[in-house]
Amino acid sequence: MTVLAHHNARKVDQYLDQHHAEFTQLGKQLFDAFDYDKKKDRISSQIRNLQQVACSAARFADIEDFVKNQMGKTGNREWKQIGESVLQQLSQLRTDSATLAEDVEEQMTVRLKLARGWVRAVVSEYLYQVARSQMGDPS
Amino acid sequence: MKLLDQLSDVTYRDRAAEIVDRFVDECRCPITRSQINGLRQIAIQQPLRVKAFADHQRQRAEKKHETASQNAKATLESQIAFWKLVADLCETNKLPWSPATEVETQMPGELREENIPTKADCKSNEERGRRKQLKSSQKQWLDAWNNQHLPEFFRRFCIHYLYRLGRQEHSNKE
Repeated sequence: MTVLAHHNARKVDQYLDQHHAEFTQLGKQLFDAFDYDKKKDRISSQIRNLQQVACSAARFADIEDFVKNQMGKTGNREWKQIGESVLQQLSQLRTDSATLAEDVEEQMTVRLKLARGWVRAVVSEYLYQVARSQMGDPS
Repeated sequence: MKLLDQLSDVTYRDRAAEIVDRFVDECRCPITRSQINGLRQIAIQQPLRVKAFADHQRQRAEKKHETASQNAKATLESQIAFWKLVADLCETNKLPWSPATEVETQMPGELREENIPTKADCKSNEERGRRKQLKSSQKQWLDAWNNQHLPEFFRRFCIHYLYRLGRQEHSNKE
């Protein structure tokens, strides 16, 4: 991954801050769809996988493909329910990456940085919802 | 690697989605998951054999079509169209865009067909030797390109197809 110019790195951080509310909303939706394993007290493996892919992908399209692949499997009701919202946010990140950097190569790096910031926010909210549920918060 | 990254992340992703969307919207019967997975496997393991595999699958479907019942014919026609599309994607000049047409824009100038002298143009042994060398370099370059790029394109293509299939099944249930 190319090292981002300082001013572009700042733009990425600002963008992630500005869109934080949308990401946490998706985190809540992911919790509604996947919940967590109450017997084993473990978070959904699907959420862990999403985070893993978003953090290790060499290309942004690999993250989109992970979601599409899950949606394309037989069954997988939860992904079919929530996948389109995930893809929409990823698509928004992809479109907006073009406004944050001019150079094509930098845009690739911006996309990946955005995806990593995005997944951090989404999964944090999911984990927060898990914790609330474990504490018996009914809301 | 940078070029492959860029093409895979943008061009192959966008084109694969466009091509699949058009095919799925037009085709009456979806292709099965096992066929898509078969294509994905071949593209990853033996990218240079994708066209031969697609031709073989199409011929098999055509043969079955000859004796199939009216109900089965529609499914087989979709399969024939699908494998023809896959084979066309491996060739230049068959579609407005394909990974093969991308080759033409990326190939180094000296290896392009128009820059390699024809057999008739080569009068001396030296010229014939140079032609042979250029042809061999061209083949090496093409094989290397296809080995890297075809798996990337067809991976995006197959996953988008599976995604459309999943969406279709989900909307049929609702």
